[in-house]
Amino acid sequence: MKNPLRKRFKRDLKSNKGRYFAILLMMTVTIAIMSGFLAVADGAQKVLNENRADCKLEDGSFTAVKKISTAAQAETEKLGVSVYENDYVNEKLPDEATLRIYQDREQINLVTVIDGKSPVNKNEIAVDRLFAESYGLEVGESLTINEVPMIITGLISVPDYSALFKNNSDLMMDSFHFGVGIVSAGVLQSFPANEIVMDYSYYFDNRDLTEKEKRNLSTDIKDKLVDNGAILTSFVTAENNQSISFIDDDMGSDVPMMKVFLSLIILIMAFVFSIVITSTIETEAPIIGTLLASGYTKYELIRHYITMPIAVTLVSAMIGNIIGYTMMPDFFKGMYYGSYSLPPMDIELNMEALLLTTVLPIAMMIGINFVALYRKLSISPLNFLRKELKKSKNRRAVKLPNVSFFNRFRLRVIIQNKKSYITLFVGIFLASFILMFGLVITPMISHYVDSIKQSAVSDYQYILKGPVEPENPGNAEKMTFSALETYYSPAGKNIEVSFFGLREDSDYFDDLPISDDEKGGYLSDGLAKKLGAKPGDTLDFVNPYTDKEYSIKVIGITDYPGALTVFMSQKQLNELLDRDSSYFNGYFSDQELTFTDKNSLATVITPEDMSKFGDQMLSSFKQMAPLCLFAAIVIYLVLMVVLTKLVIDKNALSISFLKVFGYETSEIRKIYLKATTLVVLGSLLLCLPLVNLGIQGCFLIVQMKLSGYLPVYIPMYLYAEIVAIGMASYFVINFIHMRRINKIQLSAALKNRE
Amino acid sequence: MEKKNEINTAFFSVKNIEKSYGTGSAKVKVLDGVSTELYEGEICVILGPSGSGKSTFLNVAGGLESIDGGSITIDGQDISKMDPKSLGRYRRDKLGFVFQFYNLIPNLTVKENIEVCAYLSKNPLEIDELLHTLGLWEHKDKFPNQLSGGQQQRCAIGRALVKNPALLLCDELTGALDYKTAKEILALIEKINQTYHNTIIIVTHNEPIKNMAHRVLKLHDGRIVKDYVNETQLSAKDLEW
Ligand SMILES: Nc1ncnc2c1ncn2[C@@H]1O[C@H](COP(=O)(O)OP(=O)(O)OP(=O)(O)O)[C@@H](O)[C@H]1O
Ligand SMILES: [Mg+2]
Repeated sequence: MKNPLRKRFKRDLKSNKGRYFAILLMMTVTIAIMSGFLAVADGAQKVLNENRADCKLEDGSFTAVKKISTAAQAETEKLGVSVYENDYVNEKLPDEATLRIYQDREQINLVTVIDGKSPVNKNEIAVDRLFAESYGLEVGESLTINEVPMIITGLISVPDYSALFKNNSDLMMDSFHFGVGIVSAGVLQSFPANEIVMDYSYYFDNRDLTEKEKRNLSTDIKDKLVDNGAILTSFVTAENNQSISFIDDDMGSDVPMMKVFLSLIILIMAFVFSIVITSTIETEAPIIGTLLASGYTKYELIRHYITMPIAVTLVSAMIGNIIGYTMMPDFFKGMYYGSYSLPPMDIELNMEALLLTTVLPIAMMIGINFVALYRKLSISPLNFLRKELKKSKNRRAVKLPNVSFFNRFRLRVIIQNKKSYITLFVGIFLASFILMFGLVITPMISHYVDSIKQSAVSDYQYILKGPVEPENPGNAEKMTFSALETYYSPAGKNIEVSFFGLREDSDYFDDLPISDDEKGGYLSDGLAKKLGAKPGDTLDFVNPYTDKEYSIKVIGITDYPGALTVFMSQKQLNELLDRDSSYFNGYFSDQELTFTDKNSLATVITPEDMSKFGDQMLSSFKQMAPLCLFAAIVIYLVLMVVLTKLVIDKNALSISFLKVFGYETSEIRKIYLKATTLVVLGSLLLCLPLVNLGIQGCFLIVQMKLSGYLPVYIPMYLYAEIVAIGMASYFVINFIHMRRINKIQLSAALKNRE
Repeated sequence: MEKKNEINTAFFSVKNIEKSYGTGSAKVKVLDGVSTELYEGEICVILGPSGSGKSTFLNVAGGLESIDGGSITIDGQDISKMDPKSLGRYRRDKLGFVFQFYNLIPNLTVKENIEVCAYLSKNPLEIDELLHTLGLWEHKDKFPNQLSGGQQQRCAIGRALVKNPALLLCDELTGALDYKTAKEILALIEKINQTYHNTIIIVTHNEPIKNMAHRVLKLHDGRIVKDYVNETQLSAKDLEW
């Protein structure tokens, strides 16, 4: 005979359909997101790895001032590496965009054609798929390159640009203003010779090297090249190349973050269920007492009460996984393909995801509810019969302050339901956090870009290949620039730091007390924060091209948003770099400078550069805000509906008594709903400082991925917005509760025989 | 279950049971040296003023509450020495409880409520037959809130009986019922006793009920002040109060 108690399930489902639907909805959405996301992340990882292997992704690359000698190449290759010439030109396109054009690759970094075909003729070009989408190019369109029209024959991806970073030191990839193109053999030679960048890729013969061996071999390669007369302008291993490794770092932290987040939601739902069950047990106490007295064992009852959470979880897991594999992948693919240049991927059934979305939720449900039930059911049958559910013998009513009757009543309600309210608080915190995360990104980036623009010391910064005078010096000021690296332990790698050598009485940095006699430098606050450095510390830097090491004392910290920079006396910097005291290689200027030899210019930084950066950041986060808003509102609504309804359910009898005594509905609402309203409002307010802390912590992780420093900026109005959205959600629920209270019958009190 | 008919040995016997609540100066002795014996198939009525320890006695007899001293032997087994687990098994196999509050499961029908306890027994009574005996046949598919108090109490009795317990313990089983309904319930108990020969202990405030019992106990301040055997019993329908 099957246990007749199981007949209760269907009826319980029916009479509490709102509650179970809400829980089911939330778990299903969570599981769908988790399984969809993990399947896509896994698919992306797989396609990335396969593509890297199939297309022979380089192990590193370097650029040289001129073509390296065959002897140098031959000597280098003896180290167990193949070196391939991989020259390119940077072609300016309208709207501040740059297309980096390579010759079709045959031996290294092979091209994957996603749409159309490879260029064959002189006037044909294939462009990166992501850039084409962001910039607005299509196959068949014409593009003016090197002053001649070229037809776009195909959309491609290349393994050495999975993230479209123009410069390795860029804070963010920028698919709107930077892309890669491929032309057929010979076309590159038609560009002016001085525009062709001598770029080389190298590929280790031994494919089984450890990370450390790879690093060492790369260092050997660099040394060998320099020893053989090559003049390198850059040398970067695949590991340190943001265009290659950024996606690894990004996915590396996305996946665990998502897992933690979603598991947290399931955990909360398990708590919600345990609260629902314990409150059911409280209302059914005499029944349980009778069943226990009649000989039902604790375990039979545990099994009875734990069946519903397990069933709901199972159903959520099933529906969630189906949705996760059918509807979610497109969304998440959109997120990856909107940020990264990847070849097309297939979604496969992911065992780990399956475990995380079925076994884990069920295990959590069983674990938490078993413990709750076990504790709840370990009191004696007699205590159940007497409704004495508290363990402690001397249960006394909590002494309440001498406040008005209504307030005292409300306080009792809050104390009676403290577990519901605590869980509600945790849920409100989580939802507010998600909401804040979604809302804060746009203002934070705008603020960052604004502050950089505002505090820009000059409109233009010119970095030159050597000391050259402009045709129109005006108020331009000479400076020495050098890019050195320092070890950034949280990310376990070197980051690039810009060194500016300034005049003692610099017009552009009049706040900075630079002295030619003082060794050491001033750190931009971003760099100081990122490295956790204070004045008086000594920092170690290395020149990645020469391996020369430098120790710099921190004199002070200066407000220079965004950039990772050290400012020091030009004299000191020149000395440090073994240059003449009169050496310079750059200008700060408020007007555009013109140089006779265009080739002498290495980089120009203009105000537009910052706007570009802002655009890209905003675009890659733009799906986040509505997603977070949606998720947060679902969490608010579901938790509020389930947990605050319990308060009314538990007190249905008292409410009905109050009605019999002659209380008006509005007065009853004042007691039972106002208490909840106060708790919700209180929770929303109380969790704001915690949300702030959480966001700070979260951006600490984001920070590690960025080759810059993004200060956390949370405008005050966002706090108000969160409270407003939270309260708005609550008032929807409150409205339902008001109707519920109206519906409670007087007869409930009259029928009761206790 | 096969009924043993060893008339000479008591089916239910308590010896010198002691039970106190609280500690120190707040210590109250609720049962103070209570001893008595019941034979199989007997109905015993326990009377006494409020607070005299009647419910406590019943709870102790049913193993719901431990005792401080003495022994309780039911069907040859000393339940005061059992661990909670065997006590649970014991209750499952041998005991039926009826409480003043019916404690029916609201979202199960009358029949299902009874089935819940039938599940506990290896050879429960035939449920349909029991429903007829209880006079609940027409109501078997109703939910508890669609029943009158008397009907609910009958359902609760049915639930306790369906296991065909050797010992049925009833606390204030007519306390909340009107005269007519109370008499119907008592008649039902009588009928059940005659049909199934269960030993039944009834706790009540209602003096006249003693006339249907084989044995009557009167408690006062935790002591037995009267313990006698009725030579003849009135039928439940002839009780008057
Ligand atoms: N859990 C307990 N803790 C402390 N004292 C208790 C407890 N249960 C009962 N008592 C006390 O034990 C005494 C006997 O209680 P009991 O419930 O057995 O009385 P009763 O005879 O059934 O009374 P009534 O006819 O009113 O039901 C009472 O004085 C009561 O206050
Ligand atoms: Mg009593």
